[in-house]
Amino acid sequence: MFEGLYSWSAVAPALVVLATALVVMMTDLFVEPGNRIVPWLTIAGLFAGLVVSISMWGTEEVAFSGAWKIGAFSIYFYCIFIVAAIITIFFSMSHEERRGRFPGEYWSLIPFSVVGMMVMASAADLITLIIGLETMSLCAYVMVGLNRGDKRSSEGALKYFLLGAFASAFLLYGTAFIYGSVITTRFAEITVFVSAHSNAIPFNLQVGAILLLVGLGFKVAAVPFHMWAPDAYQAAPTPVTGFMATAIKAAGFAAIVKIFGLMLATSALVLQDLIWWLALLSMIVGNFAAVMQMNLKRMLAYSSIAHVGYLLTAIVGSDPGVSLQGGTGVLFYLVSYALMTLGAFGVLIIIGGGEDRRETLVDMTGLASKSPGLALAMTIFMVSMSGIPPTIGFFGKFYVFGAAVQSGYTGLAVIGILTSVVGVFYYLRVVVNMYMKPAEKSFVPWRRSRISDITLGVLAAAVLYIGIFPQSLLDLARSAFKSLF
Amino acid sequence: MNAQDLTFFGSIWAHWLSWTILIPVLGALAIAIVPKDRHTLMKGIALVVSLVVLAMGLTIWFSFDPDSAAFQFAENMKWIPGIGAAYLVGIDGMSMMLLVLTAFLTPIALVGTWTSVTEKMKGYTASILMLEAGMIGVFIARDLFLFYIFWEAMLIPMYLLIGVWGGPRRVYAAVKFILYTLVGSFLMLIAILALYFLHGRLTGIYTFDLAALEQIALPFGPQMWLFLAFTFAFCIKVPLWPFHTWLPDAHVEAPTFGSVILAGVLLKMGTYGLLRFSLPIFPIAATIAVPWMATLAIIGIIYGGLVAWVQKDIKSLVAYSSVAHLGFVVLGIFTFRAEGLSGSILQMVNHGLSTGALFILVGYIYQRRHTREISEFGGLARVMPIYAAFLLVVAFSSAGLPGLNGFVGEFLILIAAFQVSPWMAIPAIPGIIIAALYLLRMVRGILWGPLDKEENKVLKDLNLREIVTMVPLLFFIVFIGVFPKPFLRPLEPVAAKIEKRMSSVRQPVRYVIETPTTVESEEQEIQLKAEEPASDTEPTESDELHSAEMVK
Repeated sequence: MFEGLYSWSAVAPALVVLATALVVMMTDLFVEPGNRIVPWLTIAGLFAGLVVSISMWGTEEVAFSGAWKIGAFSIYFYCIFIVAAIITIFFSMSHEERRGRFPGEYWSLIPFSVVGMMVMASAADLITLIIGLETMSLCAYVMVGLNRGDKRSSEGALKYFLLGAFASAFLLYGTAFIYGSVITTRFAEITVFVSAHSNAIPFNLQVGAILLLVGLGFKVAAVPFHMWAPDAYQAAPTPVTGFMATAIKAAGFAAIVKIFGLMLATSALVLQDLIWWLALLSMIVGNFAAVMQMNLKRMLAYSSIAHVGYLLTAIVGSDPGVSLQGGTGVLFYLVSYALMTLGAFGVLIIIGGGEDRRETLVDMTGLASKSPGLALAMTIFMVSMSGIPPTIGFFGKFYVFGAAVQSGYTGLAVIGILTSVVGVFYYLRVVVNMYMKPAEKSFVPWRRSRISDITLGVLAAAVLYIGIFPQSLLDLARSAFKSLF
Repeated sequence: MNAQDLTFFGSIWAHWLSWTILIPVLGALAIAIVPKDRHTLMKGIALVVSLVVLAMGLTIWFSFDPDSAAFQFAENMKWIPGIGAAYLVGIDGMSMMLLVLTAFLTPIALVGTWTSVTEKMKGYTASILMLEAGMIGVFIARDLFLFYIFWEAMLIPMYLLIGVWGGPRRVYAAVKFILYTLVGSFLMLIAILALYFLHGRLTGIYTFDLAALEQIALPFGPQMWLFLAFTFAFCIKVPLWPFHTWLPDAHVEAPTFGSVILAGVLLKMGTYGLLRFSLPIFPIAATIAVPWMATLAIIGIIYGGLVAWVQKDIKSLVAYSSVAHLGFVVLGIFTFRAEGLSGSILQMVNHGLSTGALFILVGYIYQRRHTREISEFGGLARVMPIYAAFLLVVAFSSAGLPGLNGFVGEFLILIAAFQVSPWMAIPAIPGIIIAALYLLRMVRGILWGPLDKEENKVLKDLNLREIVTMVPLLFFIVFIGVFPKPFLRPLEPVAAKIEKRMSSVRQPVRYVIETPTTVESEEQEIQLKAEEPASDTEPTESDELHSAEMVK
């Protein structure tokens, strides 16, 4: 119980990132605004955090009386968070060149939120989880509202904040219910309790589990808790949107996998049916609503809701005692989703230069002749999001739907795959606009920045390479999920 | 020649099939780095690469053992052991024919449309090569997962070819093409997964290897569902009536190269899928489906022919004629008899040659007149005699005139259909007459009649490049018609194998698998107990269990 009471090595990666955030915040006070040293310092700190995390791969440690557990699972997620943050900072720098400077605190908000996510990924206790979630969310609320002068941005941020606070209340309430019936908040002990009482789950535990599902459903924007997402996505500066869609969503799923994929993964709970409905509705609403969107950020917001549906499909009925496929699928899919979504937002950042906000479908017309490389990259990301091989998105989808088929939810998989045909329609509409229509507006030529070009190139190459050779990432995801047991 | 002696050549020869995919991909990458305005260089690279692939295809043809049903040129490499997918390629007679057809049509279509596309050359030539790689991949993959990757990956270049270089309604046609195909193939993906897990549960081995998947006798319920999902995907691709509506749009809007490859190779992927997957893996379901598939095929033959008859646009006439011709192929497949099966495969090749040639010929006059309306032409035989001769022969071949290639395939198919049941053959026969009617109407409208349009009086006859394109097509159209033996011989072992597989379950027998699911060794045998169909009308318990799992 008390092993590793104060194990500093178990929190080392999180501490490195936390120190980065503090140092960056202080540095910002002493250099003139807009100095490039600040973002580069952030990147350096995050990179150090990444190195520390990777060096701990294979070790497993429990600290703080069992409230914190670091293992392959946490490190897998650390890597997603940190890499997404680094890419976001690269894109933010090229965003700054076009759309004006970010306030200095922006650069420290990113590592602060990463710390929150890392706490979530290594939480072994519901209270720890909620602390991490709140740390992450508070930073996210601020980042969404960064365009202070813009009414829409304030509206989106406020909406996000209010609904987010609401969701946190659900989480706390659910935790209270669970504590009330199990008298503990430790994951391990709850797991033992649930499997011991699997034929007579206390009512309070059922209620608590449902409340947790609602709270986390809000955080990852699963239908019907998705209302905030399109507005917040559109309101936020594009790099922040990309960060929200990938890192924050991944953190939410770290919690979901732990709680619903493992701790409460028993058919004795009514929960499984609810997740089934969440998955179904997310896929249907996300994909069909995305068809109507002319604004690409809103389109990607709805598409991210659909992807949440695919991810939940893998969670439904996945019994880790029988097969690792569900959890592994989620972990794999999160990486694939992060790569292609960051790439798509990266392209939007590069296009959306100057004063006019170029983020609609019409703005993509004729991109292929203006900037063939950019159009090719966007095509790769869109094809990957549609789930067409040979891309990482295909393999991810293949794996999560495989998990659903394996656990007997073939019907859900069939509906899901049919809604993703709708997805193909709106993703390829972007390709249609880029390649098959002449440019409607004359673009002000944008300044290309080498950083974002290289980042996009690397992302596109990764999407293709892992799409063709997914085995190594699959191994990582599998051992990460295994480490939870 | 011993592979160990010449290590360099030996290692290439050991991966000969892989190189037929890799070389076009490398060619596409080479085109990507060519400067933007060097159009001729890009076309040159594409042509050289496709000729290299053709040469490789011919070496395959000549070193292929036509009397063996085994997969030759086989390669087996580790790929994604985590899910049991391997890089498994190899060809039997059917794959070999279609591979050579692909390698043959690509350079011909490229030369035939040498001057018809003038803009965005880099994307055009690169798409052509990626398309070729994808099509070859589909025909040589022996791992279901690998097959699926190629099956879908080749959609994107075709989608771009139609959508970027197509006619006025190209976007509509391209989107329709890809959405129709994807509805089918996404459902097939779920079916592949279900088959994979079912096989894994029954045998303990999780694999996508086609040879292993063919071995198990699937319970009745899942077999029906999976057969439907696979066959639905293939029927859309064929396209079988009533799933054909994407085809005329895609054909009419596609650039000539796209039309040629679409008709010549892509449609065959559907019938190839039926022969390679739907029949051998789901023999009982396929047997039950015979009346339905035959009915749809016959409707397609008659309907496609009648609709082709009233088309004003030459391209949509040829497109509907494809619906009719592919109906014959499907009819032949569902006879489950060796003659019908080899006739069907040969007919796939025939249709590729004659319809490919037709589309190229349509492209020639379209480039001269920028219209494809039959009523805009007339009397061209007087100003374009060489063209007229070519068009006449190709139209006869498409109509199935004895002595040309189309006759051989249709004849074999009808013979097999007659043996199964006159009801399968007789309703299809008017299709041949209708084919003659619409093709002759097209020939009359274009070549004969008064030369009354001023624009037509000054049309130039085919130039040397255009003639060179047509000669090899015409050569094989006549060759197969007169002496089909060398083309039928490699198909016979394949057809016999499928016939054997299908006749083993001619009676609808249900299998009950009694093996427990916890099986570890590969040698573990599945105990099969055939039950009399008459004594067992109720689904057995295990059937119900599995089907409940599938439809849950």
